[in-house]
Amino acid sequence: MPSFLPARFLLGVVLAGSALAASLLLVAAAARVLRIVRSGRRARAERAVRPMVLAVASGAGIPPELISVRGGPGRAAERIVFGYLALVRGEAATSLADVLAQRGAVARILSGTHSPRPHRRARAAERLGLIASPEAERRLAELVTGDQNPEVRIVATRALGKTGSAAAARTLLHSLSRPAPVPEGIVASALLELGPEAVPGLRAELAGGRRQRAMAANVLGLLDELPAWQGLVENAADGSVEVRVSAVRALGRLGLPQAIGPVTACLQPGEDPALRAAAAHALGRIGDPRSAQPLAACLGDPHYWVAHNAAMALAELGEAGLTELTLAAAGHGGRAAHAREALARRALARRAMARGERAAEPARALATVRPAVPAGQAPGGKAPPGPPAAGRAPAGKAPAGDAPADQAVAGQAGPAGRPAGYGSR
Amino acid sequence: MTSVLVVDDDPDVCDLVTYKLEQSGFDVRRASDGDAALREVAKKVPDLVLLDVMMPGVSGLEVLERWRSDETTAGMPVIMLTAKAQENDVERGFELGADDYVIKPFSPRELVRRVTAVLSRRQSV
Repeated sequence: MPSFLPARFLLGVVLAGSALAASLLLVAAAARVLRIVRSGRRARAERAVRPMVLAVASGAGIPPELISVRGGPGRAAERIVFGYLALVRGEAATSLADVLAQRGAVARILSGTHSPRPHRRARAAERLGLIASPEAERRLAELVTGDQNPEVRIVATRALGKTGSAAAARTLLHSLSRPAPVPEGIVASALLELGPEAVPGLRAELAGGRRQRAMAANVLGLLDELPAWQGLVENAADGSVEVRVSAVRALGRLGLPQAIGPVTACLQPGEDPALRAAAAHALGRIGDPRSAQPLAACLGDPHYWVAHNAAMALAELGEAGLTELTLAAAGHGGRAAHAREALARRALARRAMARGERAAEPARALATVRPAVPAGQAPGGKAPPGPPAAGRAPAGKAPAGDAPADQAVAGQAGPAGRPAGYGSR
Repeated sequence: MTSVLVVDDDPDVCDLVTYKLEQSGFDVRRASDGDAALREVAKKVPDLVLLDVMMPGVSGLEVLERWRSDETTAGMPVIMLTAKAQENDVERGFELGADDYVIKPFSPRELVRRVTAVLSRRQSV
């Protein structure tokens, strides 16, 4: 019976396969049922405690049941409290944090920040930021400056920004001095999240170390902290280029005419090109017609971004700036090209404004619409024939490798890689 | 009873705002997106709308623009609810005719104060 064994074997394989498939189906069905049961239990637990949490978030007192509830409903209560902590501030947030403290959740989270697993420390740090109690702040400050894992430090930095604590500003600024600090953009976001609470610390650090001064100046500008202008002027005149550029940018954002003198001093030919480009941009934002002459002198500058920013700034100065631009546009070479570009952008911006479009639109339209050129000039807004000067790119194109000093205004480039921030003051 | 329409795609925000406003004596209706908000207002114009800016589908700003261009809803008081990162939208909201704005995270008590203030301002006009 040579065929008997293979037939029995095949039958066995089929039966085993069917049994395996059936058991897998059974396991999948059981898992699904378990999931449904669990989510139902979770939803019931949440339904039971949600009204109590809502009452606390709305300003009512803390019901004792919310503190004593344990097991599934207890965990549900804590989940809901954390959810609402992210939505509310003021008394409501304080009451919700009290619920967690009274339930012993804060102590558990604090111990979670000592876990050997980085993801647990990061999760605990995130929750401490929502709780924002003094002890949570202290532990977050330790994590920001001392945790070995860079991702935990990043999460702790963001969380510290959510605490709204005045002391957090200096901790965040000092974290920039540690080896392998958290990326500056994240520290800046955290400081901005602190908002006005950060201002005393930021102003104090204007007299601190190089990194602290640069960051403090940037953030003070973004926060529109007008009373800080004198400290910014001091930093614009003294210190590293990084600090000076940050201070000049901040002065531009504040837009105070008192700063024209110190900012114009940064525009002088002997200064670093990055600083000069930032100064030109800042003068445009301040928008005082007295800056027209010094800016016009920069239109033919060999450094692309100095000339470009000067032209764009002139377009912001009203009649005095327009006169200078029109005069320059009637000439030749890079000076005329930058002036024509600025005039064309301005004309497009005005046209777009008249149509009720947003200020960002004209730059996009520039790619398709031929810019207006004064009578008798080269068509198409192009500079007359002739090689561009050494180290200079034609208007509208940034030279490769020439770091745009003020391109990173508010850390953003405009459409088509052009510097942002010219549309409005 | 003064009626308020709460428009937000986040059910937690809706729950909290609804709870607080009902506790303060308002009659609250809810909508979870722009289309639902337009439908709700078409059914019955509320005394005030709390409108989230960032929502799936029709955004809060578009909804506001449509209401302002409609004669029956042009004068309806609207308070914008906006996240901190969308503060630029506040300016646009005011251009479109928003009466006030509240930035999330918010204080529920302050929210009720703002609602009351906008309503009393409208009544006095």
